[in-house]
Amino acid sequence: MRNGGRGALLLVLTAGAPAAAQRITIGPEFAVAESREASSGLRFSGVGPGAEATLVWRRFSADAAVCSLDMTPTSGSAAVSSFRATEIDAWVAWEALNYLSFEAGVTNRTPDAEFAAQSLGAVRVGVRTHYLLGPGATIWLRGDYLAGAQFSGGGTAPLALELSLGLDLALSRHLHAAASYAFQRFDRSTNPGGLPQTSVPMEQSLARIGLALGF
Amino acid sequence: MRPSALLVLALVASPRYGAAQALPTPQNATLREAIQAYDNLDFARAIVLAHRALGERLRGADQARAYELLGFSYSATDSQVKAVDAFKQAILLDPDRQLDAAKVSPKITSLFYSALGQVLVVRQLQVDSARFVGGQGAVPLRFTVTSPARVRVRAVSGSTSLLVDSSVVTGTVNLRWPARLPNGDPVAAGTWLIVVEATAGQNAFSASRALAVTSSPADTLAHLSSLPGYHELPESEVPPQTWRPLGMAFLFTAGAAAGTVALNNSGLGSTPGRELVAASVVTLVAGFVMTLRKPAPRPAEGNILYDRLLREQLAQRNAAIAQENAKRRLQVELRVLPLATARTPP
Repeated sequence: MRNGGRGALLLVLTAGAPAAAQRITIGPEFAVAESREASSGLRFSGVGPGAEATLVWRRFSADAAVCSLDMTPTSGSAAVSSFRATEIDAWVAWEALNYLSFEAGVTNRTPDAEFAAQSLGAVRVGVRTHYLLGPGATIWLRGDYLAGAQFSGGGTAPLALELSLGLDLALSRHLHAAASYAFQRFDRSTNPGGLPQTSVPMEQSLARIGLALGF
Repeated sequence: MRPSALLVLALVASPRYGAAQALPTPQNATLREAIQAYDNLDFARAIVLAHRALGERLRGADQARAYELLGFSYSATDSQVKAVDAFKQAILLDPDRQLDAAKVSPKITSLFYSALGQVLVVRQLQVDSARFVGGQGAVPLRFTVTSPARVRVRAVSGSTSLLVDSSVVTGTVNLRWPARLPNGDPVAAGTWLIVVEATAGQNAFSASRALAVTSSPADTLAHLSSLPGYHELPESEVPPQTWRPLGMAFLFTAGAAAGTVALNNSGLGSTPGRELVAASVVTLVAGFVMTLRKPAPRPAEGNILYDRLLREQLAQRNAAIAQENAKRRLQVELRVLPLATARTPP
C-alpha cells in the first residue's frame, strides 16, 4: 500500500512538471474480446472497461493497459459458465529508428473462476513500427514473441505470438483517442496425469478503444 | 620674295587677332587701334600702337594683351627674338594664358611655347573639390611648372602654414593634400590658401588658390535589417496532399489482417473477425480523413540552415558597422571647395 502511494505521488509529480520531449497520457478505455481454448467448441466473448497509460521520454516509452472483461460463452459453445477475466499488459520500448522500436513486456490474464478458463502469463519481446498518417495521427503495427508462457492448468507453449494494430489520434493538445487490436496465439501442449502430450491451443483477439488525457 | 607673296603668306599664317583669341575688347583705345591695325595686316602700325599703349596707364589684362599683340605682330614680321621677348612678358603677366592651336598659326604657337620654356611660372593651378572623412582622403592638386625648379607647396590659413610637398620638378605635377595637421587632426574649417612657390636660381614665382574648408560630424552607417539581394526563406513547408495516409493505413490494416489469418489455428475454428474489423474500420477511416486533411507543415531543414547562415552574416555585418560607427563618431567629415577668385601673394 505504501509503495502504491509513492508510485501515485511520483506519477502526479511527473505529470505536473513534464520535461522537454516527455509526454504522459492516461485514460479509460472500452475493450471487446473473444477467446478460444482447446477446440472450436470452447469459445468466449466479452466486453469490459479498462485503462491505459503511456509515458514517453526521449526515445524511450512505457505502456501499461489493464481491462476487466465479462466473458460469456458464445452461442454454440460447449462452455457453460461465465467468468470475469482481468488482463494486464505492459511494454517498454526503445525507438531505434524514426519508424521502428524494439520492445519488451509482459502479459497476464487471470479469470476469477479457476476452472472456467486458463490463466496465463508470458514475457513478450518484439518490434513495433509506426507511421505518422497526418497531424497528430499515428498508426502502428506490432509483432511480439510471447516467451516463457505459463498456464494455470500447466503445459508449455513453445510457439506463442502476438500481432497488434493500433491508432493514436491527438484530438487536441491534451486529449487523445486510441484504438488497438491484438491477436494472441498460444500453441499450448500439456500431458496431464502422465498422459502423452496433448495439444490444447489457445487464441484471443482483443480490441480496445479509449480516450486519454495527455500532458 | 616679292611683297605680294609675303602678304599672302601673312594672311594665311596670321588670322585676325581678336577672332583667334576670342578675348574681350580692351578698355584702352590705343590698344584697340593696335588690334585693328593687326587685323588689317598693318603689322608695323600695330607694333607702334602697341608700344604706345604700353606707355600709357594700362590694366594688368590690357598690359598682357599689348605684349601678346606685340608677340603676334613680331611673329608676322619675322622678328622672332622680339616676338619671344614679348610673349615672355605676356606670360609673366598672365601665366595661365593659352593659345588655341587650332586657330593660331603654328609659327606663332611655337614662338609662344619657346617663350614659355624660357620663363619660370607656375601655371594652371587647379584644386578639385573633395569630400572625405578626415584622415581617410585627400584634396587633389595639380599645376604646371614651365622649367625645372624647386617647388614648395604649402597650405596656409591665418598663422597656420602646412607644407604639402617640396621637390624639384618640371612639367605637370599632381599632388594630394591630406588636410591634416602634423598631429594627425583634420585641419580647421575656414578659408585656406594653397601656395605654390617655384625657385630656380635667381628666378622665383608663386601662385595660389583659395579653398573653403568646412567640417561636420562624419555620417554613421545605418544598421542593416537584411542583406541586400538576400531574403529569409520559410522555415516550414506544407508537403503536397497525397493519398499516402490512406495507403499506409490500408497497408498496416492489411498486414494485421493477413497476420491474423496466418496465425489463426484452424483447429480452433474460423478467424475471429469482430475485433479485427472494428480496429480496421477505425484505422482506415483515420487514414481517409488524414488524406483529405491539409498536411501539417514540416520543418524545411535546408531553409532553416540557410536562414541561420543569413542571420549570422547579418549579425557579423552589423557588428562591423557598429565598430566602424564607433570610429566615425570620433571623426569629422571635411568638404573642400575651391573659391572662384584666385589670388597671387605679393
